[in-house]
Order: sequence, then structure tokens, then C-alpha cells
Amino acid sequence: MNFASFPYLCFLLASVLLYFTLGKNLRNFFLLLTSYIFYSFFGFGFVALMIFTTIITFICARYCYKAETKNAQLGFFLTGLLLDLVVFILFKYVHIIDVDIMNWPGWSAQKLLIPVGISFYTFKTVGYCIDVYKRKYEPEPFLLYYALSVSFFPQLIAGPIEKSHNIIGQLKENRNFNAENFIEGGKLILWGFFKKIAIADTLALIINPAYSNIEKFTGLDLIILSIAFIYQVYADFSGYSDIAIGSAKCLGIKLPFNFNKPFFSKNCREFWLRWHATLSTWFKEYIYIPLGGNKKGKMRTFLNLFIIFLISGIWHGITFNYICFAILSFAWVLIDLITEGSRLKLVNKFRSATRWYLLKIMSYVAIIIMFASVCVFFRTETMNDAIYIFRHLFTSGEAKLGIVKYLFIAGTILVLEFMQMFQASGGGHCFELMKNPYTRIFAYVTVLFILLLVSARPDVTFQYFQF
Amino acid sequence: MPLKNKIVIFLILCIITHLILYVVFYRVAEKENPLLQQMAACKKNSKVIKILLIGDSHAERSINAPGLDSTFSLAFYGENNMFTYFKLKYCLENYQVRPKYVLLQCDLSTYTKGFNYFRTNNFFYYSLVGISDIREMRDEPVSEYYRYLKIKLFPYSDWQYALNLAGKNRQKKGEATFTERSTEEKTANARNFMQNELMCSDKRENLFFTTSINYLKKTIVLCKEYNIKPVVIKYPLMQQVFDVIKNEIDSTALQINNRPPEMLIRNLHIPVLDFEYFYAQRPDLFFDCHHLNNAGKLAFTRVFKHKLDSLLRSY
Repeated sequence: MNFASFPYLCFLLASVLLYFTLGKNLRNFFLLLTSYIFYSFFGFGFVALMIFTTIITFICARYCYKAETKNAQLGFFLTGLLLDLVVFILFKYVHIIDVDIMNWPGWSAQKLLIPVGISFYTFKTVGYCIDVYKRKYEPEPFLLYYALSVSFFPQLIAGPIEKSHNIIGQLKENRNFNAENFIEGGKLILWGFFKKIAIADTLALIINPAYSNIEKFTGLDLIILSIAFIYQVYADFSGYSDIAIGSAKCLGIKLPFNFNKPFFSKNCREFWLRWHATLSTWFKEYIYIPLGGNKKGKMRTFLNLFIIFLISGIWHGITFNYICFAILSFAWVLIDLITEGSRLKLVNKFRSATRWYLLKIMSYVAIIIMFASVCVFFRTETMNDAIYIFRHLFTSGEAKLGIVKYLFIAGTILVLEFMQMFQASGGGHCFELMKNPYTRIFAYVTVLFILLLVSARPDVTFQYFQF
Repeated sequence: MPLKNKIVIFLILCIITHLILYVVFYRVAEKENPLLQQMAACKKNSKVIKILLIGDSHAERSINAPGLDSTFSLAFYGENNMFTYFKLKYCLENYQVRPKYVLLQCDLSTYTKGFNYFRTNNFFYYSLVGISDIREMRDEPVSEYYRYLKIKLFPYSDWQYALNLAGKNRQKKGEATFTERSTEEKTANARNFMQNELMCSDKRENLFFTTSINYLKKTIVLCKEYNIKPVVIKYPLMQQVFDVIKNEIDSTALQINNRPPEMLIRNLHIPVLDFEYFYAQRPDLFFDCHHLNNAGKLAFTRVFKHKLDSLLRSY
């Protein structure tokens, strides 16, 4: 089921209505059932796999906590973690195994489908196991709550990645229908729909055909396409996140924000904390800090960062493109760290009211260059295409896109940035900073009808559903 | 401001915006929608139409209807035969059009699933179709019901198709020739037509669409109800299409004797004018592998007129 679609809205509305109509004892059971039904739209086998992962990690975490000796604790922890990761690796990466190696009759690795959202719920189950093993939290005694925290449908497919502990805490509270929550959720969903359908899918109209024949483009075309793509992927993924957060809010559950105007970050490190923030936080908490973080010297910090980016790249997929995506992202962060001192001196020179904006523009341009270069590897399907783009970025050639498409892309990006001006930092609905309620209502009506007017296009799948 | 007031203002604003868009859209669509214009012309000429041409872009791009006596073209780009049935029915019932002959289309693509699925301009066609008809037209009626209701309630949401924005360069397309393309491009074009448009890439078992073939039957029955004689036309295709079928598509269903719609037509003893291979070696008359260009249209109309006249003399 496509998140940015009318059937999803109907599904959500029915779920919210039934959820708050039911008695408090039945609500969470109903929500679990709803989440499994939602997931079953992508495949019944996927639901079975998720239930398997849930039960394994639930049992292992419980026994890990109960075990008295350190060895037993470690044993249960590793059993849960390894089984969880084996399922994840098997289903996510088995496709790269050469079919001839597994020369079984009728078998093909390609026949296994990647379960939608497996990366996201695996993050949660792994995080849960680690937290319980480290005695950060007690294990959840009820399978129902734990299973629901793993499968909670608004964030099941592509995050935001919230700790099971935090979701369970909210699920256990006695929540009644709250009109304000519902309206706030609705505003976020509307904003998410707008970003996905009016911005991302509009840009996709130009970007997707162009990338399928990328060798026909040169110079300025490639630069414009690369910049347009980062806005497409931003609007697409942050749009999805807003719909997820809004949906959860309608059900009275608060999820963390995933994007915080990342293109206006001061530097590369800040960018990665504002882009897909819940994933960055997960990596930081469960990998970067256990590896020593930045406490063990510069070289070790660099190595830890490299490991994080490499895992992030492999998480996206085991292809040269994603590995290069990771390496280049790390290289930019490295440059950021190494040049921090000299850049600070430059910043101090600009610290006057009139020059402050110049500094902001420079940061913005640098972030755009950084992320656009990284995303070349993310968007292209082969290394040859990525290399072609880098080799032809500054060559002159006939502009295939033309001025109309340039203006169209620029206009779409400007609309998004203009609307984001009224959005408070740290997420929230799109017109939060508009003080006049009449203007705000008018703005929402405008967004609603723009959505209707651009909705007659075929659906474009969310970029992050593939992960 | 209290929440209640905000909701009331929001709803009022929504209703006002909806009404404004609704009225403006219908005014503009009346002038811009080519299908509405075509229907108006059909109504105006209803008394003089003896031969009615129906079909999709293959018919529209192959036959210059004004060049044939008392012939009117109801063919339209991208129209599937299910919508053709409803359009024909509407004209017969409401405009008193009483042609002697209807020229039906039976190309390779006409009754395939791929072709019948991805149709646009629903704003026009859904005005001819009842909600009960929607169920049988698609495998997934729920999403189709949703689309139907959306267009009924918010017709302006279909403005891009209704206002014919996609069709602005149709005339320009017709000026090109297939000769201008390299051999690889020609094959790629044929491959795209066969693999992506007709076969939906991987659903070859569903190549022909049963519902679509049922509508062919319904169209023939409708013609008989009104004492109209149907004639079936197979429009020209380029050699590359046949090469792709032969070399790349392992489907016996595409062989002429096995095509279900043609078997039906043979069983019903409806005469067929077969031009499928007629211009297979004439890339200068096509702009892609399955559409004649403007020069091809004129040349084909001359040949077609001659063949049709001799057929109708004995039919």
C-alpha cells in the first residue's frame, strides 16, 4: 500500500476510528492486528518473517536479562542478535549470491523478495537486544507490546527508527481520542503528501527519464539534475517521514522527527545529524560510541566515522555505488573535520550583521555540493553512469533539458524552500510559524487543492521503501 | 481562535475553492478537450455519417476520414476498445447517428492487457461510464472505483489530460519519419512497444485481456442491434515489430492464427481488411514502429479507400 495514497488515508482513518472506539484492553491488540494487516499488503511471507524475528529477539532478550552469569547473558544476547542479523542478511543480501553457486534444482536467489522495511525493524530489534543486554532497560514482559513496538504500522516501512522502549511506554499510557493530536497529525500528513506528490514526484517527471539516458546529458544539465535529485530524495523521504509521524500522532503516539532542514546545516557533520536523524542517532548510540566515539584520539575518531559510513553504505545495498556513496560521504566529513580550524577563522571574519547572510549562503552552497556529489552514486544504477556524470559535469555541450525545465526545477525547489520558511526547526507542521490563523488556514486550503491538482499522475514509489 | 471556528473556516474555504475550480474547469474543458469537440462534431454531422471509424491512435493516424465519403472518425489517441464501446453506444443512443458501417480495429495491441490498462483522459470517458461498469473493466476494481469517484467529485484533478496538455505535440510527431532513426533505435522502439506497452514487461501470460475481448463482442452485438455492419481493420506495423516478436518474445499467442480477438472475428464471419504487413518495409511512412506519419496517412488513405470500396460493394 502506497503511503501517499487515498487508500492509505482510508486505512488510517478506519484504524484511528476503530482504535479509539474499542475498549482499552483491546486497543493495542487491535493495533497489532492492524499493523500486520498493513504489512500483509506487501506480502504475507513478510509478516511471518517479522513475527519470527520479533519472537526470537523477545525471548532472547528476556532470558538474557534473567540469566545470572555473564556468560549466559552474553550467550542469549548473541543468539538473539545473530539470529536477527542472519535473517536480515539472508533476505537483504542473498540476491548478490551467484545463482550457480547454489546449484539446487528450481532454486534461484533472485526468487527471494527483499521484505519491505526489514532494515528498519531490524534496527529496532537489534537496538532492543543491545539495550536489554546492557541493562539500560528492563525487557518488556508482554509480547503484545513488544511486537507492536516492532510492527507499529506508521513507522514500519521506512522509519523513523524509534526505540521499542519509547513506543511501549506510550502504548501503555491510557490514551483517549484527542482532537488536537488528530488535527496536528492531519497537518503533518498533508505536509508529507505535499512534499511527496507535489515536490518529489514533480521533480521525478524530469529526473527519472533523464537518469535512464544519462549519457545524453552534459555540463549544466548534469549539475541541475544532480541538485534536483537531492531535493527529490529529500522531499520524498522527509515527506514519507512526516506522513509516518502524522499517522502515529493521530493514534496518540509521538515519533521522533527525522529531518530538520538539513540543507541549512552549518557543516557536513551537522548535515548528517539533521538528515535521517533517527538512523544517525542509532548508528551513534549502537556503533560509534561503543567503538570509542571521539574519545580515543583523532585517528580512531576518523576510523570510527569511516566504519559508520561504510555500514551505512552497505545497509543501502552491496554495490560499488553504495560503497562509493559511503566513502565519499566520509571524505566530505573528513575534510570538514580537518578544515574546521581554518573555517572558524573565516567565520569570525564574516561575523557582522551584513555579512552573516553571505556566510549562510556559502554554507548552503557547500552542503548542496557535498550532498549532490554523494548522491550521484546513490541515484545512478551503475558505476559507469556515476563516473560519466563526474567526467562530464564541467564539459560544454548542447543543453538537452532546456531553460523551461531549468525554471521548472528551480521553481519547484523554491516552492519547497519557501514553504519550509514557515516550518519551525526540528520538524512540525508546515505553517507553524505563521501567526495569523486566517493566513494559516488559507495556506492549508491552498496546499490541499494543489495536491488535488497534481494528483492525477501515476504513483511513484517512495525512494526509501527499497531499503 | 477556537478550534471549532478554525475547522468551520477551513471547510467553508474548501467548498468555495472547490466550486470556483469546478466552474472554471468545465468552462475551459468545453473549449479545450478534444474528445468533447469530437463528440460535438459527431452530433452535428449525425445525419450524414455512413461510415463510422472507431479505434485508437492507429486508426486516427492511418486514415484521413475527411478524405473518404460520408465517413466520420470517432477514433482517438490512446482510447481502448472498452471506452470505444461506451462512446459508440452514447453516440447511437443520444445523437441518432445511424451509420451503415462501423470500422473496428483489431491490431496486435488493441486487446492486450498492457494497452488496455494505462489509459488517460478519464475525465471524458468516465462521463460515459456508470459506476457499475467500472467493476469489470479492471482487475483491481477498488482502485478504479476510487479513481472514478475522484474524477466525478473533483473533475479538475484530471486537468492535465482533460485539457489535452499531453496532446499538444501530436501534430509535430506526425511530421517525423522512422527513416531518420538508426537501426538500433528502430529495434529499441519496437522492443519498447512490445515489451513495455503490450506485455507489461513480464506479464506475458496475460497478454490478451479477456474483458477487452468481451467488449469487442459487445461492440459487435451493439452494431447488430442498430443494423450496422462491422468491418475489421488491421493497421500497418513496421517490420521491427515482427522481428521483435519472432526473436525475443516466446509467445505462441501472438501468432496470427492464435490471437484470440482474431479467432472471435473469424468465428463471427466479420470481414477483415488486413494491412498489418502492408507497409512493413516503408519506414518513410511511419514516425515510430506502429504509427504512420502524416505522409503515411495520406498514402494509406488512398489505398484504404480503394480496398474498402471493393469490400463494401460485396458486403
